[in-house]
Amino acid sequence: MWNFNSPKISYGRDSLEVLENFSEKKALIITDEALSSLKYDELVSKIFEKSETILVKPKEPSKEEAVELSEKIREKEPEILVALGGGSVIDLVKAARILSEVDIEPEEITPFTNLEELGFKGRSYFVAIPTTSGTGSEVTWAIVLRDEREKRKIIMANEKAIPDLAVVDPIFVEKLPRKLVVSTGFDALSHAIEAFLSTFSNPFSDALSVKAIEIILKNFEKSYEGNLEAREKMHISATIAGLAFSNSQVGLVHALSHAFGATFDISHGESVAAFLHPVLEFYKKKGVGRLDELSKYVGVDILKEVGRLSERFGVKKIFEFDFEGKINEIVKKAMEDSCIVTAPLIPEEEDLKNLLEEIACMREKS
Amino acid sequence: MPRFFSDEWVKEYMRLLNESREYEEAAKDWEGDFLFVVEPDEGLKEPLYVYLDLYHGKARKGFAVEDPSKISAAFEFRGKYSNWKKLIAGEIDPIKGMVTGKFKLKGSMAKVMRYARAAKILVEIAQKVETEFPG
Repeated sequence: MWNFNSPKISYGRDSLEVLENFSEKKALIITDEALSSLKYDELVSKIFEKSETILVKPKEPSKEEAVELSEKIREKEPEILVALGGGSVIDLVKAARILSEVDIEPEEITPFTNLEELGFKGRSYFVAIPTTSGTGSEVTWAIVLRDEREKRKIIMANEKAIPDLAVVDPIFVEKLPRKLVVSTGFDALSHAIEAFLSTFSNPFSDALSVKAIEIILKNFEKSYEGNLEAREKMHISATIAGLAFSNSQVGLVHALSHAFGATFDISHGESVAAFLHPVLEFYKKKGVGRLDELSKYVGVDILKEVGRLSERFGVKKIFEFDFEGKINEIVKKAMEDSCIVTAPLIPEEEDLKNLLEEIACMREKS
Repeated sequence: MPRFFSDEWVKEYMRLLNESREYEEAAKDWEGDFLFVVEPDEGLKEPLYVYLDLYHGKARKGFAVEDPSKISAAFEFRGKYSNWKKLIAGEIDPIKGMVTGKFKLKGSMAKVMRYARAAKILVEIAQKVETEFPG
């Protein structure tokens, strides 16, 4: 037995207009300062007769920030809660919404936590509007917060974290900076690939993975060059990849990226982009058969194609510093990351040390 | 062949667990004891209980429990007998089992999330115990 979960999804040009159905509701819009400077929040707020906007910092959120925001949500009692932003903003609102109703520590939001038993009712209708094309957070049950004290990412998930409505309107990614096109594009690609390779993969997630990969491989570079049609397709494919992994899970690419990113304060997208190719090479060496199966379905050699895109966009540059002294710490964090249990093979600590040392050696050679 | 959740079964399970290098590595910092509960359904009339004290990659103590009110464990893991049989037969993934409500866990969920790999190995080792099921 397994479940397939998804919010209602409105997508395509003008899909933002779906919010007109809620225009009389008391809305609370949460976005970040950078997006507000682009006046994206005004596109949303003007739809509602009564709305307030809270601006948060444009960075990966901490658990303390989630608690702080939960108090504001509790105080304002919105009928509709709108998270407008990249994965960081959406994840922050997902956590804060739950914490506004249930008195638990953020880490206790796990896939096994029965939030209804603890009093969660979903008092606000929850809308997520992504402004990047990568995390898929608008449709997933996953939440990632930073633990500042332990320099670790807390990986949380719960079915109640899934938004009620995802609005995937390409208007919000037309001006996406190229750097973000690359990192978020790789994030979406890694979701689709890892979902297919996951031990929890299933016919639903497989279909979504293959379709997302097809769209991404056809449109990634065109989107980078500024082709708006390609950018719209990348936006939709990120949501499709989000649905795939939320119903199948991710694996070692994410476990290593969380560990590396938290240790060195590197963004999630950049970390994932850098680890995708080395991890797929590792899987290939270990004989993970699903990788060949995926290549067959998509019609290209996935490993080669990811390698080519990694070179094209120079994503392994983040490894160009001396990180050897922290390898043991990264390995420990990665082995404790819950994403590792759904990887197509669970590595030994020694495997991960070797993998990181090989990456470091490649840097020295280049 | 030891009967499921008997003292002999627990003893054999602990032996296999304490031989596992993989479990030792995955749970090397783990501290916490469990009460495992089998709820009666088809083929089982009375509930079964096992206590297991897991510490730094080893099982320190374990036994079949007659009166669970005398046990105070940090974690409780419970499910119906028919689901336990499927778990031991490898027909239910332990994580999927908890997500879908076939098994319920009490205790610090956050802590368990950091030891998801160890939890998976715990079940894999239970699957290696040759088991006679009642009913």
